[in-house]
Amino acid sequence: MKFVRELLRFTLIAVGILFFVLPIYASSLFAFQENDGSFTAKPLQSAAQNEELMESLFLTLQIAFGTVVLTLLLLIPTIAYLHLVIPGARAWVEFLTLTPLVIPPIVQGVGFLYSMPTSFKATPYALIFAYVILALPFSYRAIDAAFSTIDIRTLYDASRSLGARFITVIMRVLIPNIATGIFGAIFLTIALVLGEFAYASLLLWDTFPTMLAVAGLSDASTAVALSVVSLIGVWILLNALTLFNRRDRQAVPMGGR
Amino acid sequence: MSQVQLRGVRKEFGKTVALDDFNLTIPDGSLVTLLGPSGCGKTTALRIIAGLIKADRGYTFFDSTEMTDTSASARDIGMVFQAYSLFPNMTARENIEFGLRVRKEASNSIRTKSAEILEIIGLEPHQDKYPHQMSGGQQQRVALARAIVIRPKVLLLDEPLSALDAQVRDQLRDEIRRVQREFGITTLFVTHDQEEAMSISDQVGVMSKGSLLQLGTPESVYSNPVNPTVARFIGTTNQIPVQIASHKAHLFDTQYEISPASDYSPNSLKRTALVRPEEIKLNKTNNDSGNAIISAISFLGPTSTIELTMPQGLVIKATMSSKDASMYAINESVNSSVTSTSLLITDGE
Repeated sequence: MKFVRELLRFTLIAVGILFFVLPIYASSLFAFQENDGSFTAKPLQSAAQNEELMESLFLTLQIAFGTVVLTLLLLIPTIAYLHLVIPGARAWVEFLTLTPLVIPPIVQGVGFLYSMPTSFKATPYALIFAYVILALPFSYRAIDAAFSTIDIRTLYDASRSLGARFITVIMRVLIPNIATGIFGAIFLTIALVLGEFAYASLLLWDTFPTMLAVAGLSDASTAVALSVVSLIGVWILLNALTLFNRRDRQAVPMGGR
Repeated sequence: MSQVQLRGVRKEFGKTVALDDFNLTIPDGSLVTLLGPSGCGKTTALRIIAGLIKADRGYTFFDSTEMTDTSASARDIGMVFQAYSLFPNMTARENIEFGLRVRKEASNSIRTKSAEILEIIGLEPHQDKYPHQMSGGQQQRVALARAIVIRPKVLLLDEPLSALDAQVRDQLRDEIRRVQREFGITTLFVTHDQEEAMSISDQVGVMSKGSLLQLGTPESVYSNPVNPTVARFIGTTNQIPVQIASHKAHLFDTQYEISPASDYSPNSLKRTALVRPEEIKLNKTNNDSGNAIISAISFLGPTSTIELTMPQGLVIKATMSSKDASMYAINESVNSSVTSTSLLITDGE
């Protein structure tokens, strides 16, 4: 019985790994393998020489940075307020944050286009506002979960009784104790912005994903090589987060509170 | 240090009245304890003094300064919570220094004050530990140090010992009292543990259903409760059925005066005398003609408790020195009586 259970577990893990690794492996072979079986970095070199592609990557990183900043500025005080003052509203807000997952991008994109002031429509940075909303299901949950692991009410009251103002409480007490949640939100938001295609395409902006699609039409191996590199990049980011999370817990665990 | 006053305070949570026309004065430099069962409003009163919740009505004063609308961060208070409230991202010393840094004190002064207080509470060896590396008792010591290092006008202690085991609780209780006296800080202590309240306080306030029933020294509250509710809540009481006739209480074939603090209805058929175990006196009898049988003897060190079964099956307790108790044996018939001259009477059985 134990043998069957072990076998089943091994099989499930093996299938799971194959499911993720096989497409990356196949894409890597397609992008980096020459006809004679040797490997080459030419697709990446040609990507680096593609100015439009590099500009779009730079623009996307800027948008990602803006999205992260706006997300944190919006969510940290809001979630702190929800936990402290109106905890009963948390379920409703959580439900609201899930709506970007169920409304089709075309509906969101058109709605977004019409609701934006004209001056905003003229700049790709308007995508920041759209991406903040798109990332909400992930960023909200990451930060909300981190707040749930600490006794925010007691920490807040203790800080206030010691003379700290609200902003001091946020900066010196709450943020350091929800750091793992904040990093989770940051990495998930960056991953989303680096891979978001629908909005940028609908709004006709040349971000990295849309340029990647265009590049793929003329030079498939370059597009696939960049996809593999960005996928591995995001994977490394998420693993760094997990590692950071573990080290952080060893240094300052929330347990035993 | 300040005298603290709550005047005519009312606070409701939904349909529940937590405090109703609540008045309390904490004299300058004294330690007053609010004692009462869960939900009686004691923590609400403390949090109103702290400024962490707003009263619906009434005023808060520190000396002659009205603080009713002053925010918690501007009240100059120190507070220790029931839950461990140290900041998990800071060491013991950083926690202690937090209030001083918020006040933007000079670095030298911060170092000197934190070193001084760490020495006073005996936690110097643990100053660089994070909260999760310390025991519950050590964490509460640091929380106490953090609260008093800023030299607050008022120290507020919200059941700070309730999460600790008995031995640590006793040690920390003594430490709180020592430090409070040393610094002379006006202190409000909230607890539901009467032993804690009696041992630590200059004055004890007994609360029930949002009202302060009695405020006085531990001795006066114990010996002269203003009503049966206070008597029942403070210490142990025997509830013994009693007859009332001609304005006298009749118990164990003896007449007693009725205490003015009694509270019973003239039409009530069943009345009860509330008698402390130490007020029950036993006398040996030569035969089995006593009015009670000893059913158990519990040795508690210097004192012992003797359990007596009365003829109607009622069981009451008598407390005496262990030396006196050693003269009695289980199943022995004895004569019991009450030493006090007046009895506190209430309705019911």
